[in-house]
Amino acid sequence: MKKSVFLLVVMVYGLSYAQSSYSLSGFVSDLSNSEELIGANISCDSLGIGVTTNAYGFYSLTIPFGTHSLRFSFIGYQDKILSFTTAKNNRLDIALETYAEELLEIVLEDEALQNVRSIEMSVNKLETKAVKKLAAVAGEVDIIKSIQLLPGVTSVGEGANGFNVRGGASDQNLVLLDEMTLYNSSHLFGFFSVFNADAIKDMKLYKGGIPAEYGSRVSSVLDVRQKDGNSNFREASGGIGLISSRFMVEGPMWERSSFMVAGRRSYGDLFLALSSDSTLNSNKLYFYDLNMKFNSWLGKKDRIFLSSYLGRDAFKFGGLFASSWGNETINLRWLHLFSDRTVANLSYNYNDYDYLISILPEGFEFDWESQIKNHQLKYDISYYLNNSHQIKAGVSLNSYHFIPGLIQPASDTSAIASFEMRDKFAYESALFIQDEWKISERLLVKAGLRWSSFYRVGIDTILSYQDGPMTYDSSLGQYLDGTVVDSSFFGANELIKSYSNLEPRFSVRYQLDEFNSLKASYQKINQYMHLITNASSPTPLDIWAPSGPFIKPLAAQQFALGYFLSSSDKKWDLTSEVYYKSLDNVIDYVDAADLEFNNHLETEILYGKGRSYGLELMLEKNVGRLRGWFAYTFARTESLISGIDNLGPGINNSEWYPNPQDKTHDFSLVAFYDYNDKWSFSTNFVFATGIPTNYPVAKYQYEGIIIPEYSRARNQDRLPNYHRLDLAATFQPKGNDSREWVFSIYNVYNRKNASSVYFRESPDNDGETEAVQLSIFPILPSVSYNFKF
Amino acid sequence: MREIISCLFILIVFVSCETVVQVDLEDGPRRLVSESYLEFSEITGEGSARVFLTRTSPFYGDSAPVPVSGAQVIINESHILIEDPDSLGFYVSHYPIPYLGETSFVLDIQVELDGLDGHWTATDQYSSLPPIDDFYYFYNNSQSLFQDPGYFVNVMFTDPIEDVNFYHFSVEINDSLSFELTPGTKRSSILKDEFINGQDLHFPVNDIPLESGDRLKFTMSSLSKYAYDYYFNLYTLLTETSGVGAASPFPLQGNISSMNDNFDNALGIFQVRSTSIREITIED
Repeated sequence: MKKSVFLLVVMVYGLSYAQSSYSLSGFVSDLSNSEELIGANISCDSLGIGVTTNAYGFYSLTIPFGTHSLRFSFIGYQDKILSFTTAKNNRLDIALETYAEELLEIVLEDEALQNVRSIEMSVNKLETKAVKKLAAVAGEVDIIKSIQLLPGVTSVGEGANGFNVRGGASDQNLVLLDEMTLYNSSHLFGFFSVFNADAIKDMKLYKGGIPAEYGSRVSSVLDVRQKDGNSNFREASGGIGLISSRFMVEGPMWERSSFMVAGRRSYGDLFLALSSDSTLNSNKLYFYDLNMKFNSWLGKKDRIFLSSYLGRDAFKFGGLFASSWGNETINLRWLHLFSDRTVANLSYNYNDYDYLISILPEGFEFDWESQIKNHQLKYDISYYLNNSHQIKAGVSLNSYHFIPGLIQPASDTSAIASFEMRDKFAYESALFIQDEWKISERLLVKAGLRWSSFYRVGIDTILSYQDGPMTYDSSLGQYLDGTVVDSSFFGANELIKSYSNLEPRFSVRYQLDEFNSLKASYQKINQYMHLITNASSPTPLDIWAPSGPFIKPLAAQQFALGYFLSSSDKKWDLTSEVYYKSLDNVIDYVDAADLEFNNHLETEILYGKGRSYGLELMLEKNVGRLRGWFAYTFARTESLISGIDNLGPGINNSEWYPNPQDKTHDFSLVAFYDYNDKWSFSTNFVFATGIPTNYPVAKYQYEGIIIPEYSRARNQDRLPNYHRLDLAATFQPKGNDSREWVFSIYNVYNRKNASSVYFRESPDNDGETEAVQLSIFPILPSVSYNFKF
Repeated sequence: MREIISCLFILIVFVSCETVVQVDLEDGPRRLVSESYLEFSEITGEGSARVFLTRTSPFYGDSAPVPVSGAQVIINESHILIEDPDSLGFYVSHYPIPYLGETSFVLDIQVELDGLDGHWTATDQYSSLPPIDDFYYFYNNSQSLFQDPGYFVNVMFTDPIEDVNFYHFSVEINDSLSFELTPGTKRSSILKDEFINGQDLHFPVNDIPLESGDRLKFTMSSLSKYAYDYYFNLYTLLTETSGVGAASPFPLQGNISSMNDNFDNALGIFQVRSTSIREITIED
């Protein structure tokens, strides 16, 4: 009864509103290539209303009967002001033109207040144009390395895989490429990211205030969108660098359709193949990416997108070791406009991440294959009820098939027998609804609720243990495997364990005046997938494991509070945020955990809780020839692992200890300077506290080997602080981006930053011991050439 | 030239460098270290025991082991080990220890020294060893990036299908251990039968090619699971906690617990092994 009354009220309210107002909706795009613009502003100053385009470039605005002046604007584009008479619902697609360079200052001033007005907080965005001007390792433009220059985002070191957001581990980031989940986002074990900047249209990183449409990872969402392809004319672009070259072609196919194909490949194996030495030319070392997208309008209300990414690394060293890994993804999306106020998307996503390792010592040659297959069906609908309410709701269903390990002999003479770790199967579903509610000019609220469920199903065999998967031997001071007393077999799709959780999301913005606003957010997220690794930085060869009877979902709550300020001359933005994140069901591993080829990971895992908190400051100058930002982060991230059912001392004697991602201080200074229409320069300086590690307290000999003795306290020491200065210069001979040389120097003063410090017996002086620092990148000059035609 | 280009590329990609640095370290308490074995011969079926007692020392100090002398060392409450007067800290059995079907053996150590008083005990399981079926050498003239041509020695044996087996291999070439764990560190190697259970095993035991006149001594031993895990953790600690983003180093723990204070357990491990030894000299 209550439900019926509620529906009636909504209908009456909607009808009465509709009688006096009309909707104006459509898409905002770039005039030069018809790419939809995400986050463009549409406003009617006389009515004091406004809206921004969503992730698909769509907007809907409710305006009363009459003639009104509408303003369409977007960063880097000329405003378009239209006088418009409304007497019915209308569709209005608008194309904006980019500003000439000399007018850039004016444009950016117009957009300067967006940071203050928007309800979004804890969001990092970087323009790909800016990323391309930053110095990069060997000249390889890298989106993920670039976002680490922003507050709250770090990595555990150079050459390390993935990135860390507000103290979260790498597996706590949901990395989406056109809605497709990427399970590994780096090449060459973390040296470069998988994102080819040429193919990327937009990138947004949510560190907090994560909208209800996203879930599954507790720390962040990196939402990357590929270009749709130029609908106006065919063009090609590319670049030649020291490590790889890339080429992209895009253009229209038929009326109201376009495509984009981009490829990138490294050269390593091509040079190796030049060698006449068979011991060298048989080695492999390369990676490639292939990005593809096609879209077409089917009438005025329907549009389909087909998007795909294929990427792979291959590596072979002599007759000892070979490996290969990569993502294969497909996204098929159907966008449908139900009305001027309602747009819906139906998506099918597929990701197949796999790797193969070949270990080749004579007599024991074997291949180890691992794979994760993920199908996703998703439907979401956005309803622009009026200028005060933007409602979005949706549903998604994921199926997962984990193939953790299939081991097979790699030669006829290998003694290795075939061995298969048990496959694992799971389903994950989610329902969500959220409303962005403009209560007043000053007060804007975004509230959402996500209901996520996870079902671990057969086929599988689950063991039962006498006193749990692990026992603690107090005399030895060690955790030992539990005693198996029984096992239960589960047939195909038979439920083993399920979890269901409500995840509220809430954001609020209170605008103090034109130049100041306060924002706050709260989120609760559950993560049902876990990357099994005890390394501080995961490798592409680590395996993912689903939650189940032993591994509970990781649950995180985060509170954030922010103050946003724009200077009165609109040239400076200040963003300041504090956050506190608490985590339950955190897993960590016992000392010397054996995680490889292990069918019973529960015998290596301890459980506890975690916390992360910090302060993030960012001062940004977006206007003028000299632009850039200064970002500072104070952060702590720690775990408290007290053992199973309080059995044993847990880790670090059940006291809080820093996580490998813990960096107390982290700051970066980034500057861009446009000298003239041909030359521009950029520089960045970064500093970060060294990451936690363990140092020895003594040494001893065993079988003639000198062994460092480490104390039982975990992560109580730190690597030396990290700092680095980079410089880059961009030369455009014709004063535009049709031809472009980028010269860069990474690590200008050749700082030997420590990726790791380890302790060993000296190889040169018998009986002596020494501490050795491993550094990855020395000073690295590079040059790359980019072109467009 | 082509080789140089190839090497340059590898250098660009793998530009990492190692630098010896001085790191300030805390100095932990001195702890007992026990390297203790009870080995049963495949040929005689009789056992011999040897225990080397030392203690830890500051990391940057002298690396020579500091022997612990004057200890009382007993196996299974009946076999007393005597300290070698010429090698302080070495305790050996002076008569054969018969194997009477025991499934486990207990080591008992008592030390009364200034700063290192205590009573420690350890238990390890006995496990049998399959016989070596063949042991021979051959000349391999193929060459690869990591291997030159030369003589190699093959061993053949069959892993028993009904048991879970753990193996320890020690290879000495001209009286020196052959495999390199890390630069400058020689080691033995280990194997478990998880992926080779019941298989006929046939593999080369040396990774460095031999020349005419070289002598090779191959020792194959059985290990308990606990001893295998100890070696596995030892090798993991020394080789896999030092790279980019590697796991943090961890305390290596054995099976020798303190009867007084379990935070003062001894380092090292007590192992009970069955052992086969083969020796071969390369001749043209």
